Amino acid sequence: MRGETTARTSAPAFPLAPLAATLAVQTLATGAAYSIPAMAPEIARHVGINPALVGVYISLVYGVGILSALLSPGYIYSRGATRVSQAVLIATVAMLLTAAFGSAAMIVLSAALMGLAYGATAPSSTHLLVPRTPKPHMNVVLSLRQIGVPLGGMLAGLLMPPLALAVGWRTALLLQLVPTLLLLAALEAARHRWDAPLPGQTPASVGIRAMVRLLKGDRPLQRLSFASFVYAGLQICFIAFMTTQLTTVVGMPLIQAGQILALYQLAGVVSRPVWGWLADHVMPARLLLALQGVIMCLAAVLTGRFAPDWPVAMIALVSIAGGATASGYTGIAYAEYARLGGPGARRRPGSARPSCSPASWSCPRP
Amino acid sequence: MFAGVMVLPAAMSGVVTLAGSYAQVYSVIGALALVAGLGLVWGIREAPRRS
Repeated sequence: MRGETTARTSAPAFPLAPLAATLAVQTLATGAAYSIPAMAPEIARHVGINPALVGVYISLVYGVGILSALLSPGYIYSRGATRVSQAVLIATVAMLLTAAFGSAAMIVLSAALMGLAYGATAPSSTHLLVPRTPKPHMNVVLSLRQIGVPLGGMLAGLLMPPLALAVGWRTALLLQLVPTLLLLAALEAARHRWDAPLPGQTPASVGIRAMVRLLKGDRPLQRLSFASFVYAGLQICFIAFMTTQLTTVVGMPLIQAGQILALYQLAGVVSRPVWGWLADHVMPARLLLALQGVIMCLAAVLTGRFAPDWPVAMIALVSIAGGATASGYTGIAYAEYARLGGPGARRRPGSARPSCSPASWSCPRP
Repeated sequence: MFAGVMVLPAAMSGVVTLAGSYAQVYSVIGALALVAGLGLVWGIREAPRRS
């Protein structure tokens, strides 16, 4: 009886504060990174460059981000997940300040600065949340944490275009410094408590070679990885080029184009649990992923044909279809990796913590 | 796999800048998504299940 009471009182509670903190870090970092695509037509007009080059910006963020994701586990282990989350916020501050200088070269530099820490957001938050989350709440907590990416993109789409038109795109970027610096300070207050080492936590060794070794000779894993390569790339293409294409090709006002981008992101948020439920109860995740590929294909082909005579409702509908699939596929793709025994399922012997798996440490998640 | 987020947007920037049109590049990436999706269906029979 006494033992039961002790067990009950020592069980971890729902990690509300760490979840809120990691969700906020992910939202602010993603919101800052996606602010440039959301305001791309306005920025390009001022800087004097082709707005279509926004794809290079987002590629640079993720390209450098992949390196930071691979290097971050060691830092998380030695410095603590909260400290690394603070580094993500410092990189966000550096990105916002650098981009606000307003030249093309500084915007390129800002992308690299953002990428330097952006890849560490998911691994550091996983490291912080998993040991503090009771098993029954694990899926909910990690799913909520993942919403930070589309939420940041949605906020960028909704807020940045009107702010850019009202106060200028540089000021719109600088305004994001306020919540970012406040969160940076708030994390410092919690850092000593959250970064105290927990028993059994050891760093995982992860590298590009290890990832390639996982794929070697595993055809189902190769097919899933190819699908993830295309789906993730298409997801970012939609995000990066949405406002630019809608303003320059369709002739839509920037604010309305930002709202369509927000709709795309919203569809990604709402659809994720629906796809998850379908994969659990209706049909295998693999079939759902294939179905998503078909819908994505249609959405992409139709998006490429957006023209001034297209009704806004039709453009919105296509964007929702694109968001629900290209942005909504990630959850069931990770579940499928786990089912195949891929990165999500490789755990260290004797460790029940997915935070020690390569998937948890792996690349920035769109 | 996550190289897609690095490769495809940069490629799209290049094509749109040179060709000035989104139609071809979205069609190509859409076709890739279709092929990738169909490849998953093809691979279902051989996919091992974890116990």
